[in-house]
Amino acid sequence: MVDIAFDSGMSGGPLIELFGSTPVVRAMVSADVSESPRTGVEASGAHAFASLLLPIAGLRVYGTSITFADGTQLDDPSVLDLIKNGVIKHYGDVLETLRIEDVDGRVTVTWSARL
Amino acid sequence: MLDKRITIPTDQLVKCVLPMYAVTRSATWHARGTGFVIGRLDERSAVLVTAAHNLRGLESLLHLRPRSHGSTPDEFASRVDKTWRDLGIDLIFLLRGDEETVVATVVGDAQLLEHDLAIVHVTIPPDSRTRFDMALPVKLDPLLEPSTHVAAVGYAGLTATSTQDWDRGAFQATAKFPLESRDGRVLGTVAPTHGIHRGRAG
Repeated sequence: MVDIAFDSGMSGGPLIELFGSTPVVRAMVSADVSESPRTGVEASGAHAFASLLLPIAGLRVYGTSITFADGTQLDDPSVLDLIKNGVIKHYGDVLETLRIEDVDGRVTVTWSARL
Repeated sequence: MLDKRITIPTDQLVKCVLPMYAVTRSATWHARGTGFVIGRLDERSAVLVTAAHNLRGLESLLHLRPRSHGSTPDEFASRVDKTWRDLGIDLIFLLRGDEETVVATVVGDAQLLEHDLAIVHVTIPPDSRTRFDMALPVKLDPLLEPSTHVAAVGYAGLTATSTQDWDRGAFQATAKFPLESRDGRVLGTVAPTHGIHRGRAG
Protein backbone atom coordinates (compact mmCIF):
# COMPACT_ATOMS: atom_id res chain seq x y z
CA MET A 1 0.00 0.00 0.00
CA VAL A 2 1.39 3.40 -0.94
CA ASP A 3 0.38 7.03 -0.42
CA ILE A 4 0.29 7.80 -4.15
CA ALA A 5 -2.94 8.45 -6.07
CA PHE A 6 -3.41 6.02 -8.96
CA ASP A 7 -5.68 7.57 -11.58
CA SER A 8 -7.48 5.79 -14.37
CA GLY A 9 -4.97 4.68 -16.99
CA MET A 10 -2.05 4.17 -14.59
CA SER A 11 -2.90 0.53 -13.83
CA GLY A 12 -0.09 -1.75 -14.90
CA GLY A 13 2.58 0.92 -14.60
CA PRO A 14 5.80 0.43 -12.64
CA LEU A 15 6.39 1.40 -9.02
CA ILE A 16 10.01 2.42 -9.08
CA GLU A 17 12.69 2.69 -6.40
CA LEU A 18 15.99 4.36 -7.17
CA PHE A 19 19.20 2.46 -6.45
CA GLY A 20 21.82 5.14 -6.88
CA SER A 21 20.71 6.68 -10.15
CA THR A 22 19.25 3.44 -11.50
CA PRO A 23 15.45 3.13 -11.56
CA VAL A 24 14.42 -0.38 -10.52
CA VAL A 25 10.85 -1.70 -10.61
CA ARG A 26 9.70 -3.03 -7.23
CA ALA A 27 5.97 -3.43 -7.89
CA MET A 28 3.17 -2.79 -10.36
CA VAL A 29 0.39 -0.20 -10.02
CA SER A 30 -2.75 -2.23 -9.36
CA ALA A 31 -5.73 -0.54 -7.73
CA ASP A 32 -6.85 2.55 -5.90
CA VAL A 33 -10.07 2.20 -3.94
CA SER A 34 -10.13 5.77 -2.65
CA GLU A 35 -13.18 7.90 -3.29
CA SER A 36 -13.28 10.28 -6.21
CA PRO A 37 -15.45 13.31 -5.54
CA ARG A 38 -15.06 14.78 -9.01
CA THR A 39 -14.79 12.80 -12.20
CA GLY A 40 -14.70 9.20 -11.09
CA VAL A 41 -11.38 8.63 -12.81
CA GLU A 42 -9.19 10.57 -10.39
CA ALA A 43 -8.18 9.15 -7.04
CA SER A 44 -6.99 10.52 -3.74
CA GLY A 45 -4.37 7.85 -3.05
CA ALA A 46 -5.91 7.06 0.32
CA HIS A 47 -6.06 3.35 -0.49
CA ALA A 48 -3.69 2.71 -3.35
CA PHE A 49 -2.25 -0.74 -3.90
CA ALA A 50 0.68 -2.00 -5.93
CA SER A 51 1.48 -5.67 -6.53
CA LEU A 52 4.95 -6.96 -5.66
CA LEU A 53 6.58 -8.67 -8.61
CA LEU A 54 7.86 -11.92 -7.12
CA PRO A 55 4.90 -14.03 -8.31
CA ILE A 56 5.73 -13.34 -11.97
CA ALA A 57 8.92 -15.40 -11.62
CA GLY A 58 7.02 -18.55 -12.51
CA LEU A 59 5.01 -17.14 -15.42
CA ARG A 60 6.01 -18.39 -18.85
CA VAL A 61 6.47 -16.49 -22.09
CA TYR A 62 4.83 -18.88 -24.52
CA GLY A 63 5.80 -18.98 -28.16
CA THR A 64 9.41 -18.00 -27.73
CA SER A 65 12.69 -19.71 -26.93
CA ILE A 66 16.03 -18.67 -25.48
CA THR A 67 19.52 -20.09 -25.70
CA PHE A 68 21.77 -20.22 -22.66
CA ALA A 69 25.53 -19.68 -22.71
CA ASP A 70 26.15 -23.43 -22.70
CA GLY A 71 24.07 -23.81 -25.86
CA THR A 72 21.01 -25.22 -24.13
CA GLN A 73 17.81 -24.11 -25.80
CA LEU A 74 14.65 -23.63 -23.78
CA ASP A 75 11.15 -23.19 -25.19
CA ASP A 76 8.46 -21.21 -23.38
CA PRO A 77 10.90 -19.84 -20.76
CA SER A 78 9.70 -18.54 -17.41
CA VAL A 79 10.51 -15.04 -16.19
CA LEU A 80 13.07 -16.65 -13.89
CA ASP A 81 14.70 -18.33 -16.90
CA LEU A 82 14.82 -14.95 -18.66
CA ILE A 83 16.52 -13.43 -15.62
CA LYS A 84 19.08 -16.24 -15.50
CA ASN A 85 19.64 -15.83 -19.23
CA GLY A 86 20.20 -12.07 -18.88
CA VAL A 87 17.17 -11.07 -20.97
CA ILE A 88 15.66 -9.48 -17.85
CA LYS A 89 17.97 -7.55 -15.57
CA HIS A 90 17.45 -8.26 -11.86
CA TYR A 91 18.66 -6.50 -8.73
CA GLY A 92 19.13 -8.18 -5.36
CA ASP A 93 19.88 -11.69 -4.12
CA VAL A 94 16.42 -13.14 -3.52
CA LEU A 95 16.81 -15.35 -6.59
CA GLU A 96 19.52 -17.41 -4.87
CA THR A 97 16.87 -18.98 -2.65
CA LEU A 98 14.01 -18.96 -5.12
CA ARG A 99 12.51 -22.30 -6.10
CA ILE A 100 9.75 -22.82 -8.64
CA GLU A 101 7.69 -26.01 -8.82
CA ASP A 102 5.46 -26.47 -11.84
CA VAL A 103 3.14 -29.43 -11.27
CA ASP A 104 0.37 -29.93 -13.82
CA GLY A 105 0.25 -26.22 -14.58
CA ARG A 106 0.06 -25.18 -10.91
CA VAL A 107 3.14 -23.12 -10.14
CA THR A 108 4.44 -22.77 -6.59
CA VAL A 109 7.12 -20.19 -5.85
CA THR A 110 9.05 -20.43 -2.56
CA TRP A 111 11.93 -18.35 -1.24
CA SER A 112 13.63 -17.33 1.98
CA ALA A 113 14.58 -13.86 3.12
CA ARG A 114 16.18 -12.21 6.12
CA LEU A 115 13.65 -10.21 8.18
CA MET B 1 6.73 15.64 3.58
CA LEU B 2 9.10 14.10 1.05
CA ASP B 3 12.77 14.71 1.62
CA LYS B 4 13.76 13.98 -1.97
CA ARG B 5 12.21 13.48 -5.38
CA ILE B 6 12.71 10.61 -7.74
CA THR B 7 13.67 12.02 -11.09
CA ILE B 8 13.82 9.72 -14.09
CA PRO B 9 14.43 11.16 -17.55
CA THR B 10 11.17 11.15 -19.50
CA ASP B 11 12.93 10.24 -22.75
CA GLN B 12 13.96 6.96 -21.08
CA LEU B 13 10.59 6.27 -19.51
CA VAL B 14 8.59 6.63 -22.71
CA LYS B 15 10.68 3.88 -24.30
CA CYS B 16 9.86 1.35 -21.62
CA VAL B 17 6.58 2.50 -20.03
CA LEU B 18 3.92 2.15 -22.70
CA PRO B 19 0.20 3.00 -23.03
CA MET B 20 -2.12 0.06 -23.66
CA TYR B 21 -5.24 -0.06 -25.85
CA ALA B 22 -7.77 -2.66 -26.92
CA VAL B 23 -8.85 -2.52 -30.57
CA THR B 24 -12.07 -4.28 -31.50
CA ARG B 25 -13.03 -5.70 -34.91
CA SER B 26 -15.04 -2.53 -35.50
CA ALA B 27 -11.68 -0.67 -35.47
CA THR B 28 -12.60 1.09 -32.26
CA TRP B 29 -9.81 1.93 -29.82
CA HIS B 30 -10.35 1.65 -26.06
CA ALA B 31 -7.88 2.90 -23.45
CA ARG B 32 -6.88 0.09 -21.08
CA GLY B 33 -3.90 1.13 -18.97
CA THR B 34 -0.13 0.99 -18.80
CA GLY B 35 2.57 -1.65 -19.21
CA PHE B 36 6.34 -1.63 -18.87
CA VAL B 37 9.11 -3.44 -20.71
CA ILE B 38 11.20 -5.76 -18.51
CA GLY B 39 13.03 -7.65 -21.22
CA ARG B 40 13.86 -7.45 -24.91
CA LEU B 41 13.72 -10.81 -26.64
CA ASP B 42 15.09 -9.08 -29.73
CA GLU B 43 14.74 -5.67 -31.36
CA ARG B 44 11.22 -6.52 -32.50
CA SER B 45 9.77 -8.33 -29.51
CA ALA B 46 9.70 -7.80 -25.79
CA VAL B 47 8.20 -8.96 -22.50
CA LEU B 48 6.07 -6.47 -20.61
CA VAL B 49 4.37 -6.49 -17.24
CA THR B 50 0.88 -5.05 -16.92
CA ALA B 51 -2.15 -5.42 -14.67
CA ALA B 52 -4.14 -8.60 -15.28
CA HIS B 53 -7.36 -6.62 -15.10
CA ASN B 54 -6.22 -4.63 -18.15
CA LEU B 55 -6.58 -7.87 -20.13
CA ARG B 56 -9.94 -8.85 -18.71
CA GLY B 57 -13.54 -7.71 -18.78
CA LEU B 58 -13.25 -7.10 -22.51
CA GLU B 59 -16.79 -8.30 -23.24
CA SER B 60 -18.06 -4.91 -22.09
CA LEU B 61 -16.25 -3.26 -25.02
CA LEU B 62 -18.36 -5.25 -27.46
CA HIS B 63 -21.68 -4.53 -25.72
CA LEU B 64 -22.53 -8.22 -25.89
CA ARG B 65 -25.83 -9.35 -24.47
CA PRO B 66 -25.45 -11.86 -21.63
CA ARG B 67 -25.89 -15.46 -22.72
CA SER B 68 -28.03 -16.13 -19.66
CA HIS B 69 -30.25 -14.06 -17.39
CA GLY B 70 -28.61 -12.53 -14.33
CA SER B 71 -30.81 -14.58 -12.03
CA THR B 72 -29.67 -17.88 -13.55
CA PRO B 73 -27.81 -19.92 -10.93
CA ASP B 74 -24.07 -20.08 -11.54
CA GLU B 75 -24.14 -23.84 -12.07
CA PHE B 76 -26.42 -23.36 -15.09
CA ALA B 77 -24.92 -20.20 -16.53
CA SER B 78 -21.69 -19.66 -18.38
CA ARG B 79 -19.81 -16.99 -16.47
CA VAL B 80 -16.42 -17.74 -17.97
CA ASP B 81 -14.51 -14.55 -18.71
CA LYS B 82 -13.68 -14.56 -22.42
CA THR B 83 -10.15 -13.72 -23.42
CA TRP B 84 -9.02 -11.17 -26.00
CA ARG B 85 -8.39 -14.10 -28.35
CA ASP B 86 -11.92 -15.46 -27.87
CA LEU B 87 -13.39 -12.04 -28.61
CA GLY B 88 -11.19 -11.20 -31.60
CA ILE B 89 -9.81 -8.13 -29.84
CA ASP B 90 -6.26 -6.90 -30.47
CA LEU B 91 -4.37 -5.71 -27.41
CA ILE B 92 -1.70 -3.22 -28.33
CA PHE B 93 0.88 -0.92 -26.79
CA LEU B 94 2.25 2.21 -28.42
CA LEU B 95 6.05 2.37 -28.56
CA ARG B 96 7.51 5.80 -29.16
CA GLY B 97 10.74 5.97 -31.11
CA ASP B 98 12.88 8.86 -32.27
CA GLU B 99 11.33 8.81 -35.74
CA GLU B 100 7.93 7.22 -35.36
CA THR B 101 5.50 5.66 -32.92
CA VAL B 102 4.64 2.06 -33.68
CA VAL B 103 2.05 -0.44 -32.54
CA ALA B 104 3.35 -3.33 -30.45
CA THR B 105 0.81 -6.15 -30.63
CA VAL B 106 0.26 -8.66 -27.85
CA VAL B 107 0.87 -12.19 -29.15
CA GLY B 108 0.77 -14.04 -25.84
CA ASP B 109 0.06 -13.54 -22.17
CA ALA B 110 0.11 -15.21 -18.77
CA GLN B 111 -1.86 -13.93 -15.82
CA LEU B 112 -1.97 -14.22 -12.04
CA LEU B 113 -5.41 -12.96 -11.12
CA GLU B 114 -4.96 -13.06 -7.35
CA HIS B 115 -2.03 -10.67 -7.63
CA ASP B 116 -3.47 -8.73 -10.60
CA LEU B 117 -0.21 -9.40 -12.44
CA ALA B 118 0.25 -10.30 -16.10
CA ILE B 119 3.15 -10.65 -18.45
CA VAL B 120 2.63 -10.13 -22.15
CA HIS B 121 4.76 -10.97 -25.17
CA VAL B 122 4.55 -8.22 -27.80
CA THR B 123 5.96 -7.76 -31.29
CA ILE B 124 6.32 -4.76 -33.60
CA PRO B 125 6.20 -4.85 -37.41
CA PRO B 126 9.48 -5.93 -39.04
CA ASP B 127 9.59 -2.89 -41.31
CA SER B 128 9.25 -0.29 -38.56
CA ARG B 129 12.05 2.16 -37.81
CA THR B 130 11.40 1.99 -34.08
CA ARG B 131 12.90 -0.78 -31.99
CA PHE B 132 12.76 -1.94 -28.42
CA ASP B 133 15.98 -0.54 -27.09
CA MET B 134 15.27 -0.13 -23.38
CA ALA B 135 13.95 -2.26 -20.55
CA LEU B 136 13.51 -1.56 -16.86
CA PRO B 137 15.42 -3.72 -14.38
CA VAL B 138 13.32 -5.42 -11.70
CA LYS B 139 13.84 -6.44 -8.09
CA LEU B 140 11.65 -9.40 -7.16
CA ASP B 141 12.50 -9.22 -3.46
CA PRO B 142 9.12 -9.39 -1.69
CA LEU B 143 10.28 -7.22 1.22
CA LEU B 144 9.46 -3.58 0.65
CA GLU B 145 9.96 -1.62 3.83
CA PRO B 146 7.39 0.93 4.95
CA SER B 147 8.43 4.52 4.23
CA THR B 148 10.54 3.42 1.25
CA HIS B 149 10.56 6.27 -1.25
CA VAL B 150 9.00 5.20 -4.58
CA ALA B 151 7.55 6.68 -7.76
CA ALA B 152 4.50 5.39 -9.61
CA VAL B 153 4.66 5.88 -13.37
CA GLY B 154 1.73 5.57 -15.75
CA TYR B 155 -0.57 7.17 -18.26
CA ALA B 156 -3.11 8.99 -16.12
CA GLY B 157 -6.01 10.18 -18.22
CA LEU B 158 -5.22 7.83 -21.10
CA THR B 159 -7.79 8.28 -23.88
CA ALA B 160 -8.44 7.32 -27.48
CA THR B 161 -10.96 8.33 -30.09
CA SER B 162 -11.39 6.52 -33.36
CA THR B 163 -13.40 6.98 -36.54
CA GLN B 164 -14.30 4.46 -39.22
CA ASP B 165 -15.39 5.04 -42.79
CA TRP B 166 -16.14 1.52 -43.97
CA ASP B 167 -17.22 2.62 -47.47
CA ARG B 168 -13.88 4.27 -48.16
CA GLY B 169 -11.89 1.89 -46.00
CA ALA B 170 -10.50 4.80 -44.04
CA PHE B 171 -9.84 4.43 -40.32
CA GLN B 172 -8.31 6.87 -37.89
CA ALA B 173 -7.47 6.73 -34.20
CA THR B 174 -6.24 9.59 -32.08
CA ALA B 175 -4.60 8.61 -28.81
CA LYS B 176 -3.75 10.90 -25.92
CA PHE B 177 -1.30 9.44 -23.43
CA PRO B 178 0.22 11.87 -20.96
CA LEU B 179 2.95 10.12 -18.93
CA GLU B 180 3.04 10.96 -15.23
CA SER B 181 5.49 10.10 -12.48
CA ARG B 182 4.21 10.53 -8.94
CA ASP B 183 6.35 10.37 -5.81
CA GLY B 184 5.32 8.86 -2.53
CA ARG B 185 6.11 6.31 0.13
CA VAL B 186 5.28 2.73 0.96
CA LEU B 187 2.76 2.55 3.81
CA GLY B 188 2.90 -1.20 4.36
CA THR B 189 2.22 -4.56 2.79
CA VAL B 190 -1.08 -6.42 2.78
CA ALA B 191 -2.24 -9.80 1.48
CA PRO B 192 -3.34 -9.81 -2.16
CA THR B 193 -6.99 -9.09 -2.86
CA HIS B 194 -9.16 -8.18 -5.77
CA GLY B 195 -9.20 -4.40 -5.99
CA ILE B 196 -11.65 -1.98 -7.44
CA HIS B 197 -10.29 -0.46 -10.58
CA ARG B 198 -10.96 3.04 -11.56
CA GLY B 199 -12.96 4.26 -14.55
CA ARG B 200 -12.97 2.76 -18.01
CA ALA B 201 -9.22 2.59 -18.39
CA GLY B 202 -7.52 0.43 -15.78
